[in-house]
Amino acid sequence: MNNAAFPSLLLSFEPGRIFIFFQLLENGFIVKEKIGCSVKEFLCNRMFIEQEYLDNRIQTIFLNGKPVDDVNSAIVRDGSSISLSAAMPGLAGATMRRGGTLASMRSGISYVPAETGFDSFEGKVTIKFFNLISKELGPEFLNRGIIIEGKTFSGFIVTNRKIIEAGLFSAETDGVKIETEKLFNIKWEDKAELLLKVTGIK
Amino acid sequence: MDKILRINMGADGGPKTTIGSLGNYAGLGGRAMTSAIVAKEVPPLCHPLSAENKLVIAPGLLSGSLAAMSGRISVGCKSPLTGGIKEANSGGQGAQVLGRLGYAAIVLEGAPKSETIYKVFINKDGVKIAADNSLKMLGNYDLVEKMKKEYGDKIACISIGPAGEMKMSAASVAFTDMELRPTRHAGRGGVGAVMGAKGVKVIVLDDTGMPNREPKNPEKFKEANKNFVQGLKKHPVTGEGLPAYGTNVLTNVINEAGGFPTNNFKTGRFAGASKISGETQAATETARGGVVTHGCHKGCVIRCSGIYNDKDGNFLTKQPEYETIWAHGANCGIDDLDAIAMMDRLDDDYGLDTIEMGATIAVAMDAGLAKFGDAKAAINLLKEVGKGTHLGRILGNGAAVTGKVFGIERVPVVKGQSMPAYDPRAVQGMGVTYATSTMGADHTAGYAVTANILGVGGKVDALKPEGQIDLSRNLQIATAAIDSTGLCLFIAFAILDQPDTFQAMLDLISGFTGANMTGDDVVALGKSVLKNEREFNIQAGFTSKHDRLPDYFKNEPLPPHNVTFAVKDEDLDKVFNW
Ligand code: SF4
Repeated sequence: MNNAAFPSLLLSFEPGRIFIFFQLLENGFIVKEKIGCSVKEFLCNRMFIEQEYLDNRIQTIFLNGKPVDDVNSAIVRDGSSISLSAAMPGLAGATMRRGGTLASMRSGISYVPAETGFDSFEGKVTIKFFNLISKELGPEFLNRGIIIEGKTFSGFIVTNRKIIEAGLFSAETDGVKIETEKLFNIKWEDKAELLLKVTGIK
Repeated sequence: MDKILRINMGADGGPKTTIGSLGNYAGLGGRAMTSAIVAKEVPPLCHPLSAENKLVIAPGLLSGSLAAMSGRISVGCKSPLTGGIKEANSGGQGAQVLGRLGYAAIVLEGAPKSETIYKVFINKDGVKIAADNSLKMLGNYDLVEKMKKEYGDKIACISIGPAGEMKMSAASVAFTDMELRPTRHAGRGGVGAVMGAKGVKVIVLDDTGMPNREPKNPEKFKEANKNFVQGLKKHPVTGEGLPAYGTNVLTNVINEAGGFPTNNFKTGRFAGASKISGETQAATETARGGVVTHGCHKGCVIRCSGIYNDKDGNFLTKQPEYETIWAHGANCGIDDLDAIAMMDRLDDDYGLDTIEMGATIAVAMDAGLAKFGDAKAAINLLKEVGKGTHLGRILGNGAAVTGKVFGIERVPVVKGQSMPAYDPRAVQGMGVTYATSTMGADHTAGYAVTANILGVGGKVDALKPEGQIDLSRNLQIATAAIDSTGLCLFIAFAILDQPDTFQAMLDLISGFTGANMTGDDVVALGKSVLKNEREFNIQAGFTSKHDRLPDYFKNEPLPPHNVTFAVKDEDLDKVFNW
């Protein structure tokens, strides 16, 4: 991932409280990567998610809000949004599962592979991790760094100030250490996007 | 569970109890029991609040035993909301305690001759009924506190709040949980209004001195129970997803699919979804010292519930379920978890169905009584219901009545009952069940096991549109069967994916009853329940024309996918062809 162009924020954080950042993954983070490939290729070769995890754990995948049944034929394009979830309860949850027996119950909204060609260049893709996926992949992705919108981060730190203060060891912006107070005073909403890295430290 | 307790509330000289054998109802439990009694004994054309209607409370077949997950209870009657037969299902301690006391059902009959309200106390020594007008119009929470003072804290309560006393069609019957709080409800269809019409405020159960119900084949039962629990624990939904986030784990997923009804079913996506999602809810509960993984009754191993504390860390309500979060949240444009939790608490206290109330408030918002997104106004509307003001009485009678009174076309009901949290335009198979269920729009009606496991009605081709009809039929059959066992419907996903867990469930039932239960028997049980219910509804005046969604679902495309409900009427009419 080419993340050099963004203002960056590095937080060293108590691992037991990192879960508070999962809301950001749930809301969606941005990835700038080569697109024009299948969902499987994108997740496994660009996002480095293991194929076994994709096959067994990620039971529900949405591409632009449409449930995907075949990860090989669904194509990621510029501006695509991909959401990943573990198996879900309830009849509706079960209907959303990949290629499940209940898939016909939501056939009207299922992803249908397009027959037109596609380009392969760097594009912007939004990724969302839900439920167990954010719990399991979240710490690793937060450690690698995620790109999020400034206004999303601004709202997030206001709402969760108490718990962020309780779990924060240190903060750096663009490689320079800052006081905790300053973290909450920066006008994050003025920044279009930022690269957030959260590292768990005991 | 070899006896039925009948209480004739209209007998000369005051309520009269009769304890009888099971007779023709032997071998039935839960929904099979309630629907059999209602179908046989209640005149289908009677007024639901009249002396002729009966309120039947029946623990599941396995309730009161050591079978895991077996604490579900059914409440049945002719519904004041739909005018058809009703089975409303609840968790809580009631099923286990009633099962241990040996009652397969409590049937409230007749109608009191005065405005007096009664409390019923049942323990190992028998049944006592006493008039107690000091309980009038108490909320469920205060009522249970009073019962605790009177009978101690080893009890379980089945009660109604003010909504039931006012005979509102959205009134629920409350069941206390393990902490003796009235947080579990047989919510749907106005069963609380029927209990109110019988003049019974509370049934207090005390099973002190009563043993667990013993299985006929203890070895088989024990082994099956062990395998069943292992199966539930190893499945990602029942072993991880539900315990970690509760049913509200669905919010993000259904919202992403564009099937999360928002602002009274106008769009399928809610901008504030992540603020009210199960993930956010669990994080909030953890940060405030609440509980994220908690059972609604002893013996639940999935534990999809939790405890929601307010900002100061004090108990506010149990973890609101997905349906509640949606109804009082997205459907009213509200993205404030604390406000939704407060409405859940008020619903539990007044004794109201959270789905019906959320749907009703959204219709009221469409009528201009409040603005979408205005949480304070929504809470105030709910308080009107609790107080029983004229407006409150309208709202407390549900979305259909409210829509009619305020001249609103967009009222998402089938057979008078509000739709739950899945837009049938996005998940069309769900729409088939909403339309054809004997219960009115109901998400739990078609919940359970796939055709492929049960193998009913031949093999279903899941990729053909007609597959939805076959699937809905088979799901409704399987659900009716599970609702009769007392097992929680959330076992469905472990038995859906793991044939050995399905077999363990069959062995559990066989080990308990001593009869050999097969997949075919499950199907036959489910079909017989639905047959009773369908026949009752036909005699109550329902025709295929009632098995339809409101027209606007066929005409108004639902953003973001811009889909309409496309299943043909003639296909809907095939659901019950078996
Ligand atoms: S899984 Fe949930 S609803 Fe079912 S019995 Fe357990 S706590 Fe109650």
